[in-house]
Amino acid sequence: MRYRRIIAVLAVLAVVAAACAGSTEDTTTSTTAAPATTQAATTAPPTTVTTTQATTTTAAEVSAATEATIGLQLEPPTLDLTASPAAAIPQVLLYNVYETMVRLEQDGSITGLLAESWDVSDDALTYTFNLHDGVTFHNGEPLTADDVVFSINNVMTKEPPHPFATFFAPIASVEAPDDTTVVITLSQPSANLLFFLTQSPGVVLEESAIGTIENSPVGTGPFEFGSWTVGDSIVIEANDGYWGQPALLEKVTFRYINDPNALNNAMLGDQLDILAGVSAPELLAGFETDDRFEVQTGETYGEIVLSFNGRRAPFDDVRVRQAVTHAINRQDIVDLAYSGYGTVIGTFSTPLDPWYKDLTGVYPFDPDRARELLAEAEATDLELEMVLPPISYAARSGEIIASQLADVGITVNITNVEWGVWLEDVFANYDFDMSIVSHVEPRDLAQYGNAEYYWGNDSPDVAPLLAQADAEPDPDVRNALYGQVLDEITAQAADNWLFVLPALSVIRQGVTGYKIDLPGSLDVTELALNP
Amino acid sequence: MYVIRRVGVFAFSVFAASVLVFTVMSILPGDPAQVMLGTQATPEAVDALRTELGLDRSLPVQYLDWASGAVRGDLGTSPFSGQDITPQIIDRLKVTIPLAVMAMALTILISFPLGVYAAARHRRFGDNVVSIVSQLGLAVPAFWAGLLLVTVFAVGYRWFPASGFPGWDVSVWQSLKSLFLPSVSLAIVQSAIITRYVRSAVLETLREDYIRTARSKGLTRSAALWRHGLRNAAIPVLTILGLQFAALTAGTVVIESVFVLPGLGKMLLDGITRRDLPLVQGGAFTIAVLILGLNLAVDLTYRLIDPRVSEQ
Repeated sequence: MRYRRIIAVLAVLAVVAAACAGSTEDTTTSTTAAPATTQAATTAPPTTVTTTQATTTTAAEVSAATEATIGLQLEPPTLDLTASPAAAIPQVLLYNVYETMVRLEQDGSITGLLAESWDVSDDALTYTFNLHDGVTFHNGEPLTADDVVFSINNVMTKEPPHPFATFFAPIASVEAPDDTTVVITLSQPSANLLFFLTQSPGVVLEESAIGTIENSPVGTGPFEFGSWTVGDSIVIEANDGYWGQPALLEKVTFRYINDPNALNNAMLGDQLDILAGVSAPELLAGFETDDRFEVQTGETYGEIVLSFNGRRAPFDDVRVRQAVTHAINRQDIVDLAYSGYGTVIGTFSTPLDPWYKDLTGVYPFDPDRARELLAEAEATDLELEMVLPPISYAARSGEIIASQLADVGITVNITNVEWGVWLEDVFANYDFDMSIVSHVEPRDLAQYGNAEYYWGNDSPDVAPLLAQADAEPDPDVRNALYGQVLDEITAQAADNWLFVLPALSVIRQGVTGYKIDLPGSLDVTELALNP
Repeated sequence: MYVIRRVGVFAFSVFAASVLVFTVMSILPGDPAQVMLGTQATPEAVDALRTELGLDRSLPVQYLDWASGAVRGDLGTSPFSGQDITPQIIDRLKVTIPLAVMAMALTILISFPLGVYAAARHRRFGDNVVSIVSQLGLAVPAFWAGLLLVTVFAVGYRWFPASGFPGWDVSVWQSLKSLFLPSVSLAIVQSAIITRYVRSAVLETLREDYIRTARSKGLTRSAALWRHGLRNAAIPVLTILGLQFAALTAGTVVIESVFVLPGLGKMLLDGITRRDLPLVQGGAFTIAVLILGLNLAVDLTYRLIDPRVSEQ
């Protein structure tokens, strides 16, 4: 009786298994205009592989020299960069699939991409761009100035709002007097406009392809979008009809591995050509001593911020904020939480910003001064809630900060929450005393003028200074104004800016053209694999 | 009658599972719209997106909307990726089900010989060794076994990939290779459990009268075991195997994350982290339907084998 039942179980399982293994049709998203990709070439025939199974099948063998695999930690939530501000989207698409009129280079300079040249009027209110001729989108449509006008207007007027709509607030109008000329008129000078045009709001989109932008982006870049297997990988393939210098690789696969250990193991197991973004720096030593690999370090715009909730006691008192800042040894945090990689900062700016100033001396590590300030503020026996997102630097820094604050008599209760809960509790509902998160967006100083932002900065001088700085055409005066903003928020100890997140990558020997210093985009257009 | 009753029970269970899955996901803290928009979001943008996603409607309305699609096999669209959920789930099953089946096959290959051997060597050295090894196997968490296997065989020897899955259409051999270490990790715990069952089942049958009769007819102990014991011992063991298959499916959730396999379990975990409610609802519902469907299929197949069932 029971025996027969078991036979039935096994029979059903066998049928299900066979059905699953048998149906191999590809249901991942693919481009409509699939080029003649050589998928067959990548398919190692079972017979030949059998003979090499005892040796390793390295990434190089599987992908030949024209295909690269790059391992990353954070997968884009969607591919629609007009809907989501996630940095993981432009990381893959910017300059590879999508192009902008002007682009950012590794040294921080801005050069023409789709624009051959551009002029700025003397009053800094009119920008005239001359576009390249003969540029086509991946779907075959020619690029015209109207596409640029559409793309910029889309950022400013789209509903629900574009995540970076405020970046283009100074734009009064965009016009296309002819097919290759774009004129942007501003209502007030904007120092950052050109920079923002190099980033994700500046990408030039094709109007007819906008409906499928979230899973099949169409751009003008040297790579076209291939496929996205959600939870696993994104593939881009060389665009044969590219208008400019073609890419060196045929195909690039971005593999998403959320767990830092698994990501490292994939690199150590020769499954990746590049490990972009190491989030567990203590594991780098293993790569540094292995001559298969090369460790590269670079700069980012990511300030790791210990934020204070200025909306409620005790952090509504500047003396408490200053005390906590004095009580924390930032270099200890870099050494212990990030293995010594990373630059200590004392304000909300990184050395990449033209207005950067070293304010680390304003609040030196001084527990005695911290105790004095706490006594002055009559804030004794403090018990603070620290709510941390699920990111390794946050958890590690949080533990160290809790122990350093214990030395000055502050009790810290740490709550580790999921990303979604963090966004709701801390970011939207302001229910926290302290938190730690990195602010990776470039030039995001404006958030100190935003009264609605989660850290609740209440300094009245900041917003007018920011507006004045952005409208200032003279770069030196402008940078001085931003410097004043930094002085002001630091004097207020609005938050404690701990250190700059370093860009840490591991590349396989022989990989060239990897641009570690380029923030915002993992530009693979010059990437090559040499044996 | 029997068929109708079974199908009725199945339908009700599916309904109950759908309500449960839907409710649990909807009361999780963390607002999907907020997660989608991230740290740049304004409250107005979050509200607008909530409206667009239909999250501002009442729960029963949202449920009916979702369930009416689910009945037609349409589990909706992920608000994050913009991709349809049903084809994604089918894709994921092509990883998860072969993984579970492979782990089960390995379990049988390991545990049957070991269990029979231990029973045949009852209270002797070999039995003790098997018993200690299976104790150890029980104590090893699958994810830890997975990490160790990766360190040795993927990072050290580089015989197997450390993670990932190339896809059956790219290479069947490479796909099997990437499922091997994960199925071993799953099979370690399972084998430890099943070995103990096999051992005690065989011991049990060895004490039966018919074995004594067989021995008295002149068969050696091992001949009696082979000829009469094993078939009878298989019955309770196979029952447990069936039950363990469900446990194995649950184990794939963790193992798929360790080995970064694009299976259903990893899809669920990723979806929960991102608050991709439709995706998680679809995934969890699919697992529930699979297990219920498996039961139904077994019940119906059983009736084909033994028509007396309908009279019971």
